[in-house]
Parts: sequence; C-alpha cells; structure tokens
Amino acid sequence: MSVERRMVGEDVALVDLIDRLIGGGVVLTGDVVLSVADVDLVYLGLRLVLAPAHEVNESVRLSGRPAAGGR
Amino acid sequence: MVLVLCAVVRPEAPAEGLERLDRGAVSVLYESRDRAPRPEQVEVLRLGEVVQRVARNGPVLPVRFGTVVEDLAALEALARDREVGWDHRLDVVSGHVEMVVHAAGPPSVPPSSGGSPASGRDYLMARAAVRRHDVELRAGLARAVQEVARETRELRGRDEVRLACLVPSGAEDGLRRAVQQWCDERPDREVLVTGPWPPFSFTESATGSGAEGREVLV
Repeated sequence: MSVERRMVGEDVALVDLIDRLIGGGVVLTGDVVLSVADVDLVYLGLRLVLAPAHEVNESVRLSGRPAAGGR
Repeated sequence: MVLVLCAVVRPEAPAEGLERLDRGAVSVLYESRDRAPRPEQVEVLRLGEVVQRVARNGPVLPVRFGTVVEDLAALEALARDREVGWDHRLDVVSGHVEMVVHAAGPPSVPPSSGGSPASGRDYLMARAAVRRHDVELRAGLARAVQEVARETRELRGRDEVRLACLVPSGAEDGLRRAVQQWCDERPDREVLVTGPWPPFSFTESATGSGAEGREVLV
C-alpha cells in the first residue's frame, strides 16, 4: 500500500499529535514542578477521540495537514 | 494560581498571548491559570494549537502537556538549571520540523493453522519471527530516511514501527519520497507519514538507543 492510498491519515495524524503532546516535549523533574497531568486518562480517552474523528478533525487541520494519506 | 508551561523559545520570539520568562538565550512561555489543566483531550489539543502557533515564529521546544510549576521563582530556578541544554536544542531544531513515519509489514501475528490454537512452541516461534521482522523493518526504515533526517527517535507503537524524524523545513516531500521508495521495494509494506509537527520528540539529545515515547492504546 502506498503512502497516498492509505485513507486513515487524519485519524493517525490526530493520534500522533496527541501522543507527542503527551509523550514528547520538554520533561521537567524536580521539587519545583508541581504536577504533570495524569496522562493515562488522556490515553484512555483516545478511543473516544477517534470514534467521532470528524468532530475533531478541525483541530488536526489547525495543527498542520497530515503529510500523507490525508485527503 | 499555577504556571502552566507551554514552550521554550528564543527571547526575540513573539509570546503569542502567553506570558514569558526570559533567561539568557532562552525564554519560557507559560500561562497563569487557577489550576493545572485537566487531563482531557480538549486541553491537550489546546496546548497543541498554542505550540503550533508559537512554532511558526521560530525554533521551539514544546513542553510536555500538564507541566506546572508553583510560581515565578520556581520557573526561574528551572530556567537557570536548563538554560544551556535548551539553548543547544533550540539550535538543533531551528529550521526543522518533525515528521512521524508509521511502517508495518505483513500481519504481526501469523494466524494459527487449521483454525485450531497453535501450540505454545508454535506461538513462541511466531512471536520470535515477528520480533525479527520488526527489527528488520525498523533498521530498513532508519536507513531509508537517513539522508533526509538530521535525527530520528524510535517511538513505541502497537503492531507497527514508528519513527520520528527531524527534517529541515521544506524537506518534508523529500522524506515522503524516501519513505515511498522504500515502501515500493516491498509491496507488503504499509507506510504512512504525518506532520509536519513541532519538534516534540527532539527536545532532548538522543541517549542510549534513542527509544522514546509511549505506547498508543488505540
């Protein structure tokens, strides 16, 4: 299957964006950091994100078009 | 009141409506809020939009979602401790974007023959074969993008290989072509590229195997 033929690009892009916001980025540790959100809850919510993907696709577009596989 | 950290940028970068703390060659962008952001998708995506907006103005190191400090004194202490490292990473990611490549080969777990459950030995053999296949897939993909990507990070994924690639802005199509060419060599491969994203996976120097990230539970 080619890059262009895959039809789930926007869903995957959304998951990548959320995954990187939660799992990537600058990580701070130490006493001065009050808290880092309980990201596991967000991951559980991803199942719900993808079900109504059409409702959140606008957020994906705002964040940059899926590079491939998007429509 | 808490300070919700959003991104590290250069001092000359616009704050995009956020508050900022300047420290030498770096500046931390943050929001003062009544409480830490709730761990909900809308809050995560909101940070994503903020980071994307900031990234349009120059190099950025996004801060992981949900990172909160108590007050300005705490933030100043952080910036003092991390300034040198952040300065270096801002240089590295400057002019670059992140692309995430997904790659999969044949089904990860071969179906058992005859419709009956495989023996324990068969199962272990199949798992070993899948493991070897994943290693080969990962190595092949890394070779395919090495001419385009300045750095890569392996990300965990379920039933697939995911590789974050730091590529020069404007070289996104070059990465896609490299991945497509690699895919064309084996028709049983499936690939997908997302991005461009801010350099979420490249805020730290690579350590050890470079493996990083979390398993996506979808």
